[in-house]
Amino acid sequence: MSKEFRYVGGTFPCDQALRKVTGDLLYGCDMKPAEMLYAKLLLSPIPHGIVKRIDTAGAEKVPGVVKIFSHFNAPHKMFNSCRIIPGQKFCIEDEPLFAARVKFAGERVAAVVADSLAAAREAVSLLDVEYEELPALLTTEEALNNKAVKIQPGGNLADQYEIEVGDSAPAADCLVVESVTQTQRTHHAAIEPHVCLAHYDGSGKLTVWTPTQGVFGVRSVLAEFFNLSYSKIRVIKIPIGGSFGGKQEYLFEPVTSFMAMETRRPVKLMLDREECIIQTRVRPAVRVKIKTAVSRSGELQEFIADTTLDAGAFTGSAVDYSRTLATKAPKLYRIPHYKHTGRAVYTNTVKSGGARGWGAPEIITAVEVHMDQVAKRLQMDPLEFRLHNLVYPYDRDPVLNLSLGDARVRECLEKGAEAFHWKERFHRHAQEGGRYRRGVGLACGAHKNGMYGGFVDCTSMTLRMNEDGSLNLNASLHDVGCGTATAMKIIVAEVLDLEPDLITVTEADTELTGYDPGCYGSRVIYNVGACAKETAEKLKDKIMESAAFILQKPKEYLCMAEGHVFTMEGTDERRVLSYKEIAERAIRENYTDLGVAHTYYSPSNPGSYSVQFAEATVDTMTGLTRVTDFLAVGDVGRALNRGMIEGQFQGAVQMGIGYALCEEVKINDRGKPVNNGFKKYHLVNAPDMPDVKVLLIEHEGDDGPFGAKSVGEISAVPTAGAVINAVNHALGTSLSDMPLTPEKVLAAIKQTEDQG
Amino acid sequence: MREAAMLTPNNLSELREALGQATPPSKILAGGTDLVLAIHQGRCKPDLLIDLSGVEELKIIKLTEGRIHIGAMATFTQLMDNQLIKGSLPCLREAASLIGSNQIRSAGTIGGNIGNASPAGDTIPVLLAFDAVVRVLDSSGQAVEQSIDQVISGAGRTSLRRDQVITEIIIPLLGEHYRSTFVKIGSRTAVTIAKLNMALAVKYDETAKSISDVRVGLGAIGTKAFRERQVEEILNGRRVDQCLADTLAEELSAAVQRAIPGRYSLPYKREAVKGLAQSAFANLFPKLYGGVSFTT
Repeated sequence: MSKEFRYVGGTFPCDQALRKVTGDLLYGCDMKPAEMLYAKLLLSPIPHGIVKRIDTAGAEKVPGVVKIFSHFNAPHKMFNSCRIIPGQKFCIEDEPLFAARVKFAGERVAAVVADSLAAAREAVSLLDVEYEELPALLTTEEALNNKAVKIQPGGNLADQYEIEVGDSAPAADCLVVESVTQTQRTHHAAIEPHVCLAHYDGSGKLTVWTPTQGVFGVRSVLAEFFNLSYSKIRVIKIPIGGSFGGKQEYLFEPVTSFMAMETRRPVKLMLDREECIIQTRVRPAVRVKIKTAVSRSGELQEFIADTTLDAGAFTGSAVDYSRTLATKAPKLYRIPHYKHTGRAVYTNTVKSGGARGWGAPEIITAVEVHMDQVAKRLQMDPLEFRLHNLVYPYDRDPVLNLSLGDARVRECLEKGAEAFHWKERFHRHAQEGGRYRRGVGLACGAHKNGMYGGFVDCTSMTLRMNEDGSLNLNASLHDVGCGTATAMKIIVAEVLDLEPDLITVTEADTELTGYDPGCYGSRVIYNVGACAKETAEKLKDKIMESAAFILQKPKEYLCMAEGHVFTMEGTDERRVLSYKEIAERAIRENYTDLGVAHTYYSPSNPGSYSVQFAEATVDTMTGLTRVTDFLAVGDVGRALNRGMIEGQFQGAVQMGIGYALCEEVKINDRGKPVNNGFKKYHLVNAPDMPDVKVLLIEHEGDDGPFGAKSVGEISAVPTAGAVINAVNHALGTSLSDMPLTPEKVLAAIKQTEDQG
Repeated sequence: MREAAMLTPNNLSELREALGQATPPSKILAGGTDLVLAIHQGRCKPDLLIDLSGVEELKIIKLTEGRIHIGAMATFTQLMDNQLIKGSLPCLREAASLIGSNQIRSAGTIGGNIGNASPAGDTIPVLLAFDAVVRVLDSSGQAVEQSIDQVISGAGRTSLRRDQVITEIIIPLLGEHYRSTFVKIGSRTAVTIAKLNMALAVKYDETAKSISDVRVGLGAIGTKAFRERQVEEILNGRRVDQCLADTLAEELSAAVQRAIPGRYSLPYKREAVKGLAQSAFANLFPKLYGGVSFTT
């Protein structure tokens, strides 16, 4: 398919794969500067209450303890954990370093800083806290109904909105279908727990090493919080053992920096798994009600959604997240009349936060489960029903008023259905009986490519050719394990036609690399990648100019290939310069630096699409469900690193199956998280994974580098919907209360039997 | 920080000496798959760890006078690979193979499975069904044989004194007309703790197509695994057919109801145990039972 490319579309290991598998790469947990102290947090055991008193006497006696912090000796100033730029919309600052009034079980109450982790741990266990318990509101219903208990000063409603586009004019004989889907809180489950290291040195400079998705956002929040000059804060992105959105918010940078500033020694805070589950962030639980009106021939007339998002105890990213829920369905379907009402509600539970897909997996799962219910009522193949309604390339997103670009969701569906033998399987499995029942399901998903249209989306980088012809790309990359650095090398290598291994790329460091808002919103390949391409093209120009000067030929008479610049054939005597010769002579003879700087502003934000097909096998006696076959189709524009993209989809499917069937951070009726380790919080593991096939649709109609579009988030959007639809197909049920645990599946089977 | 002392005896006599030093908080370290985690998490603070890994005698599996002797330190991987177990106790092999992950199976031991006394321990129902006995040694060198039921007294609790250690599990072999199986339901296929587990052993009369000496070991219901004698009695002497499988299912469901009335997990377990019964029956009588499973 991509014969015209040398590197684009090939398969390359991610940049640090070798160092990762050999243990050579140092993560935050490995870092140990001289004089470093260890911090350990004390977390609230109750969901709501006032921290009246902390007896630190026992803890202070532990040898090695340096200092104990709590709201009694820390600023009561608040911050927002997801704010990227000062004054950012929806980013209410309501999170404290240490709680004076705890608002969820797991919130930071105190911290001990000590010479050793063991001492810090022991001291934390000896802290004696007196709480005055307050009534806890654990569900959005309770929080909305109870006006007496206010989790935040303004009440429990964090935000509400209404969006309406188009006019309501459904035909009289329309079919009206209503559904309710409840999505659950999930844990990101990155294998590396959260970690942060901070040092405030003698010159008054604060340096923070953190596996973050956005160093400039961290810097901005720290600067405003501590009233420090931006130039006196250096935030360095360190290797990251997975994030999935879990490390995009600045959860521990403020508190670790505070402790480092107070002790004037480097302080490291490392979490364990339990702490990651109960006190970082969770994918929010969302209740989605959808009502559609559909013509008898299967055309959507009206789509009315209502969503209630459980924000947890403070604002964080919840308002933006909640509002984003309204922007996904209109990217996927042509809807003459679209209306979405939504709200985000504070509860005394673990804080919601950004998670892979930023609202899209939540709302799209509900949409796609709903669409199957409509198709069933119409007695129409779910595939056909969707083909009646899916968007076409260059349709306009009516909510954001942006072009969807070269949106190829229809092609994903049609080619995928063919490869999966959808029609045969959909009709065959419906007739099967017995203890183990099989069903197939499909779901479509839509996501975006960056922030264009609503937020800053620019990036600056420099690229320099060294004296030997090798390259250094200086960019604020935040590789979260999905091959960002390698992708940039492929892009630059393709433009300049040289081995990717000859390029060294940087990751983000606020002191040394150019501005970039961070690895969010599926913007990296589409925008940072496009910047890398334009930067490389700019350098190519400069190399050609240098070669032209050396060869005394206009650059129009030169061509570039395989690390060399040639005079064109047929002019006169053929002459060749290697990059090394050009770079050396440029600097020695022409006093020219072969370096360029470039800032790129994103010009568009097309849709990325994926359609996924699942086969589920359900044991009707135990309710256990396994996904036994899977096909993921991606509208990726252009595959840059094919193997990496396949891996992205396979990993996304693993997360999505867990989202559909088993993953849930459960909180009991006393507000305590109950499954706070991987023993009880089950992910789908290898023995339960199907063989995930990946089919890529490549059209390169948009502005990404070589046409590439985002993959990392869209790949995780339709999975749960496809799995749930497959289960419902197998059983004739309409399950939509996630996750579909064996208990719920058995109850639904019983209910169907009782009705039938 | 108080650190535990560790003794690693190299033979049984050194082990006896080590046991003599044990105090109430002391712990025996076998595979460590539960204990080490508990220590790291601060749930268990032993003053002394007696590490059994040096005692080679505890790793032996042998057949003596119709009884299989399994050293307490035999790992689950060892149980899976051992020819004797494969030939004579396939259901113990099956139970071992369904425990945890490869790593857990390579470290975890059968003695530890008993000593840890988890209500969901996977080898326990098998050992109950086979009337296995546990050989317990104390610091004075005295060895006694006790039933599993005597040793395990509750969830995470045993009747073992601080100077006692499990050295062997002794399983009397049933005759050649016996068939046995182990089945389990977790929340996923592998690396999962049982929500329900069961060993079923029966004597099968090929001519009469009937079963006798039925043994049902049930686990993960209540505080400790148990033999379900009432269900065994109902099945004894019955002819093998689908009707009997359904009877087993219904009776086990009733047994679950009796065992954990009012428990949160009851509605699921009393239904799912029927599936467990059908799977067990299908394993024992594959020809009579034409079911499909996930793997087919």
